[in-house]
This record gives sequence, C-alpha cells and structure tokens, in this order.
Amino acid sequence: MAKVLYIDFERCIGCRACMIGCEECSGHDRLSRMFVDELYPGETVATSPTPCMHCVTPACAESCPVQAISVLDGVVLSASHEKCIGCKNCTYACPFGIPRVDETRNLMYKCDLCYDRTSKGRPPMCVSVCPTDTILFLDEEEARHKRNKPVQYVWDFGGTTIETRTVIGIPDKQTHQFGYH
Amino acid sequence: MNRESQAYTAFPKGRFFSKAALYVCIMAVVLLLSVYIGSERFGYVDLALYGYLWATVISILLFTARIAAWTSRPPSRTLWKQGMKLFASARGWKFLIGTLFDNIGRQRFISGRSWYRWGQHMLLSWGVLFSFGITYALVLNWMHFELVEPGTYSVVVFGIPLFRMGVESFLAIMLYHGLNWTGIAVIIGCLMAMSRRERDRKNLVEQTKDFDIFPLVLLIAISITGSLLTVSALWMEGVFYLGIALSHQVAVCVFLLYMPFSKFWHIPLRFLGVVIPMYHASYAQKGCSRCGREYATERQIKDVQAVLTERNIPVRIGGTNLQMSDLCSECRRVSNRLAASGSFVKLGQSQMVLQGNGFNGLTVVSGRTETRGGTDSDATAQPER
Repeated sequence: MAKVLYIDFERCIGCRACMIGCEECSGHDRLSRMFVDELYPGETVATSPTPCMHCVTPACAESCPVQAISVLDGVVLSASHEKCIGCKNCTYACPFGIPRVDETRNLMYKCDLCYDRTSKGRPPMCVSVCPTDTILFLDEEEARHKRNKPVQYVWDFGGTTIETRTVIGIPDKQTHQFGYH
Repeated sequence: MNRESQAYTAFPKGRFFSKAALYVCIMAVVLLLSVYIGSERFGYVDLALYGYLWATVISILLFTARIAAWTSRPPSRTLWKQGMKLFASARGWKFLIGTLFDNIGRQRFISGRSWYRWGQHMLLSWGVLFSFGITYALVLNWMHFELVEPGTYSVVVFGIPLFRMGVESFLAIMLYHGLNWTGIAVIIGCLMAMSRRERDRKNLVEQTKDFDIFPLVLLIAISITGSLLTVSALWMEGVFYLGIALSHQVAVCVFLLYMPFSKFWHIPLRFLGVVIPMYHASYAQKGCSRCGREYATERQIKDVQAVLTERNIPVRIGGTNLQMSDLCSECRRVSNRLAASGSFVKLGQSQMVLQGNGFNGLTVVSGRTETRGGTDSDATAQPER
C-alpha cells in the first residue's frame, strides 16, 4: 500500500528540524522544500509545517506551460531540469503555496517526497528528523481513516474539489481535546 | 473519493487533429517550396542524402504535430499569445535580443546550477545546434557548392551566391569538416553528462534508460560514425566507407524520428523561455490580498486563474471574486491552517474576513463579496468570535 505524509500540526514546536533535514537530502541542492509558518506571529508560538500536498490533480502541473511537472507513483515531482523555464505559474496556481522558484538557477523546486529515499522504502527526511512526530509516514488508508482526529485530504475550494495524498490532522473543534492521543 | 472522478480535462480530439493536420500541411508545403528554391528547381538535389532528406522531412512534420498538441494546452497557449503580444513592440525586440543572448547564447540559466553542467551543456547544445544547421542546410538542399573557376568554390544558399573560397583554403577546410568539429564537442559533452549521471545520487534514482541515457548513446554513435567517415576517407583510403556511411545514416535517421518525442523536445521549450523575463517585467505588480506584499504581476495572476478555470480546477475562495492565487504563497499556507483551526482569516487588503467552509476550503463571513452582476457588495454575515 502506498505511504503518505500525515501532518498533525498541533504537535509542531517550530524547531524547523524538518527544514534542515530537507536541505540535507541528496538532490535537494541545500534548498528546503518544507515550510514552517508562524500561525499567529507576535501572539502565540503556534507553528505549522507544510510539505507538498501531492494532489491527485495537481494545479501546479495543470498550469505549467511546458509540462515540466510530472507525477511518478503518485508523487508530484519537482520540475524537470531541462524543461522548466522559471515562469512561476506553478507557484501561483498551487492553492497550498508550495512550489518555489530558485532565481539563481531559474528552476522551480518543491517537495518530491524524497523520492530517492521513499522509492527504496525509506521515510522522507522530514519524517526521519521530526522530534515530536508531527510529520509521520503512514499507509494511506491508516492516515485517512485510522487516526483518532479529524483529517483533511479532500478540499472544496469554492466548488472545486481537490484530493490530496498528504493528509492533515486538524484540531478537534468538537471536544477541544489536545492532539496527543 | 474515486481518483478517476476528477481526471485531467479531456481535450477534444477532433479539434487537435484538424489543427495538427492544418499545421502539418502548411509545414509540408513550406518544406517542399524551400527544397525547390534551395536546389534551384531540383537542379542540385544531392541524391547521396536522399535517405536523410525523408527522415528530416518526417521529423519536422512530427515536430509540428507535437507543437500543435503542446500549444493546445491552455497554459502553453496563454504564454505563447503573451509572447506574440510582447514582441510586437520595439521594446519587445530589444528585450528579445538580450534574453536570446542570455538564455540561448551563453545559457546563463544553467551556469547557476553548476559550472560543470554549464560546460557540458554548452558543448552539447551548441554542438547539436550547429550540426542541425549544417545537416538541414545540406539535406534539404538549401545550400550547395558550385565550382565557378578551377580551384574556386562559390557557396550558394537558396540559389543566391554568398561568397567564394579556394577549394583548399583554410575556410573551406573548416566548412567541409564542420560536422567533425561539432561531433567532437558533442562527444565531450556526452561523456561529461554520462559521468555526471554515474555520480549524481539523485539522478541514479530518477533517470530512465530510454529518456536520459539512450539520447546520449545515440549522440555518441552519430558523432563517432560521422567522424569515422572522415577517418576512412582521409587516412584509410576509403576502407569500410560504405558500411560506416550506412551505419551513420541509420543512427541519424533513428535520431531524427526519435527527436520529437524525446528529451530533445526541450529545445523548442527553451526558445519559449525567452518570453519569461519580459512577461515578468512588463506588467504592474500585484499585492497579496491578505498581507499586501507584492508577489507577482497582475497579468500573470489573471492568466493563471483563466488557465485553471479552463482546466476546470479554479481554486476559488467561496462567496468572493478571489481565488487562492490572490494570496501570496505564505498567506495561502497560513490561511489553510487558520481555517482548519477554526480561526478567522483577515484579508487586510481586501477588507474581508474568511473562515473554513466546513469542507476544508475558505469562505467569506464578512466584507465585500461577489454578486450575480459581478460587482461587489457588503456581506451581512458577521464574524463570530
């Protein structure tokens, strides 16, 4: 069964180990594909990591004029080096704000689920280094159905449904129980 | 959710076939005319290159069909049209020359990746491009040499005598062996590329034999068999010439027919890339609807939104005229999380307040919203806090 990323952002302590680990992954050229954003800057210390959501129908690939973004085994890869022309369409089309363009190399880069590791059965680098289990690498069905908290993997953006392989665990707003189960 | 239920938008096949057939017919007529004019009414057709001629014609027609398919995609068509519009002005042409020099001439985009890759790519790309130029000119009979005086050649292009040169002059030797010089550059570039592919750990996982390795092997085969023709003619008294010529022709024909559907497809894409710097520089900047930071041009955001709408995946913010692309990347990430946490998302620049729509998207709860007439009005709902 395919494995996917599961993000329980309530557990994030903002250490940014995932970003450093991502930079270290071979082929990532010292550029982190992971984001850790402050949710209420100046008010609380709440942070959230965001990797690529690996959409089933990726808006980034749909908006690419040169078909540089391909999907391999369900993983949306970074733009092909020989095709990418650095137009930045993908960075604007993605509803999750993931792709970036390296201005120096004129090349888009994004999370590729550490394909060189995951294709050999190893977890992605961000999962390996996360000290609080905020980022997990789980079987797809387990991530979607067996976690005991609400999850996001089907998104409705004004009538457009986008399904993602990455699953986000969200705070339980009914019972307001903290996310450590 | 069934993954097949939201597959890629199907492109009407009839539209593609009629468009591709039209372009291919036009290109076939243009090619025929160019051969007719270049060979001075078929007077100088080089029959030794007959096999290459057909492979070249078929290759160009396949390329044309692929370009027709490519430009049918909404994002490609949009960028193509933008390029045409931008380069209709004098400023556009000035920009074009600059970006052609940067992107194609000195290939600055790859020097930022590494100097080794830049050197390898310069040797490969210029070797291949010059080889194309020489091969097409000879095979399509656009150029030929005429012996106008004993010991003097006239170089004739499209029936127009361009210049004269001595049969054994330095210039003539350089021209006769043009494909040898480009072949040497290609062989060095290919060996550098293969060496990198052996060492780069990421490449070892992602590269495929048919897409990444075979083109390099093919280029080396073409260059070596081509160079052996010279070796046979100059130093081996023509031994094995026929066999080498046949193997070279087979390698070149395989290359020409494989080219439109292979890694070499990126060559025309690179030429589209010259549009990008001007596309980014010619329009007013747009601020993020949440934080106000300038992050893109207004034109490009409109183009991207139109493209996604055409592909049936517009990413709207419910109850507004906004799409997610009206926010900068960071605000998109943070807004999704805030909505998931049950918090409100204040769009400071658009005087709106958003919250989760209950289905993992965003919807407006306060502020200016869309109406049927297309103009905005104040929403009545108030945020509950």
